[in-house]
Order: sequence, then structure tokens, then C-alpha cells
Amino acid sequence: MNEHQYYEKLIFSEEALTDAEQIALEQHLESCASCSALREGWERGAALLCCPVPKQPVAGFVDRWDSFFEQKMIEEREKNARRFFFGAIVLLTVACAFSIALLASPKNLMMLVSVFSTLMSSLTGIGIQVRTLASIIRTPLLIVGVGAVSLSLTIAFAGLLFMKKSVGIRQGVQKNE
Amino acid sequence: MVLETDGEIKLNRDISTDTIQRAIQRDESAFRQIVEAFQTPVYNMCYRMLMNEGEAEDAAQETFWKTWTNLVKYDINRPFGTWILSIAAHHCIDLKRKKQVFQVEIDETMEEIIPDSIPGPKQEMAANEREREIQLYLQSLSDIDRAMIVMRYWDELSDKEIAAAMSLSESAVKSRLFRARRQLADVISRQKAAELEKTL
Ligand SMILES: [Zn+2]
Repeated sequence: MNEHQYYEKLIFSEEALTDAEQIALEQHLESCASCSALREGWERGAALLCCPVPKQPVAGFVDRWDSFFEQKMIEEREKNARRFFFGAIVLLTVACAFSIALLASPKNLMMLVSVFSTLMSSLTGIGIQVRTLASIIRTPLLIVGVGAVSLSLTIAFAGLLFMKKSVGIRQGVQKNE
Repeated sequence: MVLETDGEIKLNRDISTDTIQRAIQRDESAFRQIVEAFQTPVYNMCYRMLMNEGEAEDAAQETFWKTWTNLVKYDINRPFGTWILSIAAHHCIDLKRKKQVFQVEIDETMEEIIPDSIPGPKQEMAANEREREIQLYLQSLSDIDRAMIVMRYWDELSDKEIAAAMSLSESAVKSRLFRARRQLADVISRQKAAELEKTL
């Protein structure tokens, strides 16, 4: 630690100095221009920072908070609704792709059915014929496939409409502001 | 300088634990009381950090929104005032980071201001000379140091509380505060020397 650093510590100390420290500091300041300038600077700085007045917001901050909060809640709800729509679309798309892939290829369908039948018999001990199971599963799969395609198209269309409308509303609000 | 105990009392005296608990349980009216109690320290922090009233207003509102959405994470054993100031300070630091280009421009302006140009009476738009001086000198500090100076001198937080708010060690806070005070003294003495030179 060089000589100045010690005196700088004294200049900026938040604790009261001892008499010995005070005398040593004063003696050093008489002969050191840089520490002396720092001390003068800090005297002004400390005076400015002594009980400074906090900057107050413009009156009515809490009322403005109320509208801000309301707006944020609306945005949050919209965001959640959008997330739900996109989640549903993704899920339905996957469901549809899966059903279509199964229905398009009898080989895939039979493979799934045999895996399912093996799983069923190992879990319950009941053996079901693969062909029987395939005929049972085929109709629901067809319904799910076709239903999912039309539902996902509907939801995608509704989602687009909803987003277009909310953007329109927000632009309207901004224009009014 | 008032330390240790008073800092905590100052920032928490206007709000009860019960109000905080109710706010945590999503009671909007309880949170409104929190906004009412902390609007000045939060706004003051944002203003000192951003140096602009409009931006400070937006940042203060965002700070309260962040506080509301993060209330579940609040540790009830921690002083609430310290926590909310920490959110405000970090929010402002993030904002400034995002606008770094703009910040560089301010720094360049400061380089010009500090050595020799003191705003003369004509340029002096601020009604309060002291306020203008404080803002001018605060600009010379880094964002983190400035936030710490605001916490220490406006909100009277102790080293320990500042350390908790800024996620730093107590010794780091001590040395950063020392460095910040030194920096302020240096800027002030250079400014005063330039002022003197101008009058001669
Ligand atoms: Zn010296």
C-alpha cells in the first residue's frame, strides 16, 4: 500500500478518525496536492449526499399503477390464450400426423396393434388376436384422424383471427393514446 | 452516516408483514399498499439510474410488476425494502445494458462535461442546483456503483443489506463504495478546478 492509499482511506472513512489519525492526515494534506484535492472534492460530495432528497414520482403514481396493472393482466391473459392455442395446434398436428401415418400404411397399423396386443397380454394375461384388435382400433383411429385434421384447421384459423383482432385492438389503443 | 439498523427500519416502516403476506397470496389491494409505500424509493432509484423522469416512471411501474409476478419467490425473512430495491436496480441495469449504444453516447458527453464545461446560468434548466449537481456527479459512476450509492445515501442501507441486494460480498461492497466515493471526489475536484480556471 503506498502512502497516499493510507490517507485516502482516512479521507473516505465512514467512521470518525482518532486524534492521531486526524493529525497525521492534516500533516499529509499540507504537503500533498492530490490528496488535498480529493479531500476538498469529498467535502462537497459528502455535503451533497448528506440527507439527499429522494426524487418523487409525479402525483397519482398509484392510480397510474392501477391502469398499468390492468393492462399487464390483459396482456398476460392474451399471452396465456395464445400459448393454449399454439399448444393445442401442435398437439393436434402431432395426433393427426400419427393417425394419418398409421392409416396410410397397413404395415404400421399392424405393427402398432401387435405391440399393443403384446403389451396387453403381458400386463393383463388376456390374449387378444391381432386381427380382431386391428379391426376394433381402425374405426376410432379414422375418426380421430379426420376429426383432428378438421379441428386443427379450425383452431389455426380461429387463432389467426384472434391474433389479428388483438393486434388491431392494440393499434387502436396506441392511436387513441 | 446511519447504518446497520436504521436502513432496515427506514425501508420497512410503512408496510406490515401481514400486508406482504396478503400480497403473496395474490391480494391486489394489499399489493397496492406496497406500491403506495415504496413508490418513492423505487422511483428515486430508477430516476438516479436512468436520469430521465419518463423512463424512471416506466421502469418503476415495471419494477412493481416484476415484484408482483415474483412474489412467490420472496423470502419473508429478508427485508422487503431491500428486495424491491434490488429488483429496481437490476431492472435499470438491464435496461441500460440493452441500450448500450445510447449509454456510450452519454459517457462521451460526460467526458466533455467533466474536464472544463460547467453549465452556465443560461444552460441551467434545473430549478434545483443541488439536484443538478448530484445528477451530474452520479453519472460518472458505473451502474452498479451508482445503484450502491443510492442504496447507501438515499435509502440508508447497511453494507450487509447492499450486499444482499446486489448479490455481492460485504467486502466487495465496502471496496466498491470506497472506489465510488473516491471517483465522486475526483470528479468534483476536477469540476471545481475547471470552474476556478474559467473565472480567472
Ligand atoms: Zn497524498
